[in-house]
Amino acid sequence: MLRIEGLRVRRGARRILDGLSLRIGRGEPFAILGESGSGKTTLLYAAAGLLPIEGGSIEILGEPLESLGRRERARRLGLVFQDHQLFPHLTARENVLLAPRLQEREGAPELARRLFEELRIDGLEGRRPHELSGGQRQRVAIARSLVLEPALLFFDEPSAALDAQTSEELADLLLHINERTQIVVVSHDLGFVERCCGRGIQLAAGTIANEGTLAEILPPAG
Amino acid sequence: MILPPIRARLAACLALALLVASPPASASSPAPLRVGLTGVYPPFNYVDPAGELAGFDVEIARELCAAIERPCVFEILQWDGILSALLAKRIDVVIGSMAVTPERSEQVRFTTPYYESGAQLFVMPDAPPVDSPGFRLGVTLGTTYGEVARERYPDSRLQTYKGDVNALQDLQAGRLDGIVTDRLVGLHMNERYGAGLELEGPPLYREEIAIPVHPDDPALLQELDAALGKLRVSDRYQEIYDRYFGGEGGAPPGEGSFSWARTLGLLLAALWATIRVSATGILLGLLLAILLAALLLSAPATIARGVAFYVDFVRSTPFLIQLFTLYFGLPALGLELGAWTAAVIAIGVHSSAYLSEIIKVAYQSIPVGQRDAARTLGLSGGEELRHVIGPQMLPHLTAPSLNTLVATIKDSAIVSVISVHELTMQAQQLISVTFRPMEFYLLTAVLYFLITYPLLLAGRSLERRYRRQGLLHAA
Repeated sequence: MLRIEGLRVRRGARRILDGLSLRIGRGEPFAILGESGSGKTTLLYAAAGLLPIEGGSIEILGEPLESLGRRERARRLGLVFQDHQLFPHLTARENVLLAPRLQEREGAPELARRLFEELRIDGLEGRRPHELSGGQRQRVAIARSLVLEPALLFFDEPSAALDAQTSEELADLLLHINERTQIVVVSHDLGFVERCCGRGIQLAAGTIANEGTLAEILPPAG
Repeated sequence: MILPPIRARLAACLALALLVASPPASASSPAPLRVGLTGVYPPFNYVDPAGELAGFDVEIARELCAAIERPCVFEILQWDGILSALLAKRIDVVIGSMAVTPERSEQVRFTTPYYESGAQLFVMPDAPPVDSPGFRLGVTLGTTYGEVARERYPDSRLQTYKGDVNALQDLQAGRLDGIVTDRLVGLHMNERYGAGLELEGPPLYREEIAIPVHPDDPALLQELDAALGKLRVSDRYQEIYDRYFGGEGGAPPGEGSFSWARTLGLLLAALWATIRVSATGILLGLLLAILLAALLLSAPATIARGVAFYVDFVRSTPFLIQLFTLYFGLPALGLELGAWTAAVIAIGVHSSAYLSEIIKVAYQSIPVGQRDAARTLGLSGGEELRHVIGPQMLPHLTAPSLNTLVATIKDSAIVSVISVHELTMQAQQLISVTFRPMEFYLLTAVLYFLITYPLLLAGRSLERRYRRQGLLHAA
């Protein structure tokens, strides 16, 4: 689904990714692990088309990323930001329906209604982001991405601000969402990744240090 | 509601500017004679409570216009800018009690005098002797009195004023001990307002009052000289002179009819002019500001630096100087703006510097992540600006913009100096004939307050609402 070849990305004077290659096919949720500074968020942002790339290629569903317009990209790939980035001037429902309304997607209101139920945020549709808890904001952000029905959905550090119980619930939710959308999670939270994901890579200093099932790439417990 | 009259007014201004810029069309419709005066020099020239120009100079001007068969158009200007206006050919003559001096004669050509007068020292009854050190002596900026006073009373502390009325106000307030002014003016003030001034010694000197004409216009000078020669020996001249000065400062006709209702009407009309000039100016400023902000935020670095320097330059120079540059400076480059147009452009330029900075800061206060989110949702650049960035900038724009609007309305008082007839100028004119500075300055302040205070309140209340909605965080 996602195919990255020889990716090189700079941020300022520093080269963060240097010739990274990666393939993610349809399957269990995929984890991108690594310490902070290992380049995992850069990889995610580059794959989402938010950072200019210096070299290499990124293909989503067989199409080069640079050949896709913003709308086509959004239909293939969604991103749930670490700090959610909900639009503060819009209600939860308006946040979810802004893009489908502008893109004239039919059936979006009905889909949004089902998503609010499924994500257990129904009843909060009329609230503004500042009237929601962190966990609720995250679910609205997930609904905002899912309403566009992307083939891939990226999460940047989804468990960062959550307590243990909410974090477990989120992991279960991602497994559930993965039935229709391929989930890719960037995280340094090993406990969370163990619960949600079946496979992945470990990044270190901009290159892949380990690749395979979680059991293969995680250090032995204890 | 506001737009059509403003547009009409602007169009009228443009039309007027074109008319003024073009040479006299034909002999059948003579060009009006543009007569400059201050309108704050009673009894020679002033605006009466009905809003009409009156005074000795005005009547002489009307006689001369009739004699040379050109209609009179009066332009009210500040004294210290009046010769610049003549040299810039914004006016044809000054008939405003200008004394002939060698310095002035180097710049302009004078007609034969139309009256003779003299400088006179007046003192307050309780003033110290005039030769005592620190004697506080008032003179009007740009008149011949300043030089004479400095020479004759070297130990005095000289204070200059925009007009005799302002100096008289300070005499009344006890901030001055004496004043050097025209003998007839001083006597007139005593007679009319009970100013209580005492003549001190004989006249300091005699002076000849004449009409300056641009040196490029010898034909006009000749015409006026011929007309003046006839007028001065006529019964008509004697009749006018006697009416004003026959009793050494006796009240001229038509000044006794003061009415609060009519005065308030004049002030309200002038307030409306203030609102119009401010609103048109700031509307222009807003359009300029959007352009400037767009350049500051997205132009190549060298252009953005140039724009930033321009904005800093406008913010770091006085509004008055910007206004004078537009109004008195541009004619030297062949571009003549009407007073109203110059005022609107000056307000627009001045406010655009502040507004562009407000827009820039508002844009930068939106987190980059918001733009990233819009992009990953497939929004185009325009959709992003319209639905995500723009609405979030609004709360950051509202209160500072309203503050700028309030500042602009207050600053608009300054445009009175280029003869835009607005609230402050109207107040000064009323004070020059009624000599009630306290009443009129207070009333004027209240009128300004009535339009600015609701704007300040609206800004605060919107800010509170945005905070409640989580759209604005404490700075």
